[in-house]
Amino acid sequence: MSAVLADTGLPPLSRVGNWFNDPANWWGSMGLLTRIREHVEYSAIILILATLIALPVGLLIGHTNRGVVSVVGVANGLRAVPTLGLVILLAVWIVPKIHSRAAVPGLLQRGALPYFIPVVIALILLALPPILTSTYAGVQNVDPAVRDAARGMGMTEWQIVRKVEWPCALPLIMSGLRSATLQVIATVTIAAYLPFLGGLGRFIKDGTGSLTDLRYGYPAMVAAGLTVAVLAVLADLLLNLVQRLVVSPGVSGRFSNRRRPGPLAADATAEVPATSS
Amino acid sequence: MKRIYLAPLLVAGALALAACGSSGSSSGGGGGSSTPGSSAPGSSSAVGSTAAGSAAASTLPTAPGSVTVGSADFPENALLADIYGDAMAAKGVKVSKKLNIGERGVYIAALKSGDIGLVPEYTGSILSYLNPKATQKSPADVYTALKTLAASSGFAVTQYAAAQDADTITVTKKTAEKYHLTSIADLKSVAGQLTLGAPAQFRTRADGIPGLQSVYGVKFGNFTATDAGGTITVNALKSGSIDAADIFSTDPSIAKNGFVTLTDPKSMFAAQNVVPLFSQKVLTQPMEAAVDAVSAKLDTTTLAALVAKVSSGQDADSVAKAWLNQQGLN
Repeated sequence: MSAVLADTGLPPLSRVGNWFNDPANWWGSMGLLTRIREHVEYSAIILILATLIALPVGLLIGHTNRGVVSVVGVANGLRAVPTLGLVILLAVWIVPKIHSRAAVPGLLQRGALPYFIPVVIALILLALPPILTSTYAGVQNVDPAVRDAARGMGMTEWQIVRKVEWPCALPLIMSGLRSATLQVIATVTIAAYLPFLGGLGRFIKDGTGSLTDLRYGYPAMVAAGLTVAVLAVLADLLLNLVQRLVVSPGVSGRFSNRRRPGPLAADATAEVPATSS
Repeated sequence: MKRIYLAPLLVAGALALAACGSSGSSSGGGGGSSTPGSSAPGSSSAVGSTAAGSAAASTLPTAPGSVTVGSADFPENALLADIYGDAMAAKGVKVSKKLNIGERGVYIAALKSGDIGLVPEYTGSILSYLNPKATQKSPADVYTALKTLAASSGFAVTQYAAAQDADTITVTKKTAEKYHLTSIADLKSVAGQLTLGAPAQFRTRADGIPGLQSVYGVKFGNFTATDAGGTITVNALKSGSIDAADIFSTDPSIAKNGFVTLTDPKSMFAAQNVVPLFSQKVLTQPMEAAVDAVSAKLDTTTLAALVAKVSSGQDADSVAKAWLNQQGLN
């Protein structure tokens, strides 16, 4: 009888290493690699859709300066929405209305489609605000004199957006996109609260039912959490690289005069001791 | 990350309703320090005979006595508490009720402390709660082991009912006909093409996927974590998203959807017969007679039909009284 409730301790953290070392945990339809693939697929779909919505709207608002209060206000309000609550709410509402149980090869198993849609919607709403507000702010921050000069050169409004505002706003847009990416990759884990959906959250959600199990319990939960963190860091590094490639050197300042040792830099450093003494 | 920690609470709340078959692992009672067999020497020494219930009856007080009936916090268990409580009240026992107390750890502690005197239980679940290493599977074996263990913990069980609320492997009629399935053993050659839907713990439970493989050699091609025999599981089975599901045997949806519950000839799932669990100090002869009469008439189909009435919105106590009336037990 004394052994009845003795076995409540969690496996030690060192078991996470053992978990990663077992190939059986990596392969198969419920293995780590499949879950990573699902996690990345879900995140990519959500981010692409969110960008397709937020980018044009943000550019339009920034360029016309109309709808700032309403659209940007709503977007910022969305930040306060609890995503898990929204997923459950949308699932209750949407799932009974979708009758397709078809599988999507390489993405969704049989029966998962009705549950996938609420997750996508809820996470788009999570990803919209950072992309939308940074796009809008990036365009707003373009020096009015530059915009006027472009207009004075005879550029059409579309040309101004494309050739002036877009490149100038790109660093801020990219930072919004990176922030959205981090949030989505971390939050796609909640997809596992709905049945049939995968992603790394599956290990975390299902592990709670058998915490002490070395294969499916606590070690798997920690391993999945670590993997999410690694994915988020990798995605951020990737987007950082993309940013370096797409942002014009003239805008990013990477090749500006100030970086070079010269009279300007000498002046700047000369001022420091003057103010401190 | 905060969301992830809040979420189990939400889901745990939802699952608790359907968590009847699983044995709670909460910290609570588990003392079991009372001296074995001191109060009922006749029953504890003669446990070999399965009909020990009547032998012990002679030592029980003959006055009707009074009892507080408790229950776990899911509808079926509260209904059982109403049925047993009302049956005893009809025989002159003073009955009060404290229903929907909580999970096993909580109401067993209440039974130990004397806050309640009776709670409807399920033989397999309460046996594995009192002794997690118990290996008994068949109704009679589980009951015999439980009787001994209960007596040494200050509890007493009366006769068990034929009604079981056990885990089952259930398929649709179409699947059963297509693959000629009547028992879990029939799955052996086809399971590789099928998807099983069950709670996530089913992968690790001895009477889950490991049991299916070691007892029957059945290995499903795919596993999907669903809820504990709840609406998600039932709808998934109905719509063909999964091919087989772990559904509780008293679930009204089995009859409603024409599902086929596969038999378990090798008793992989432990028996989960409904059994009244009394506190030894409270139990009297008239109480035992009243609950034994109920248990004798209660089978799984009957219980499922009664649970269906409650889940469709009828008042549990009225359902209990109507059934007792119909059976001539009041």
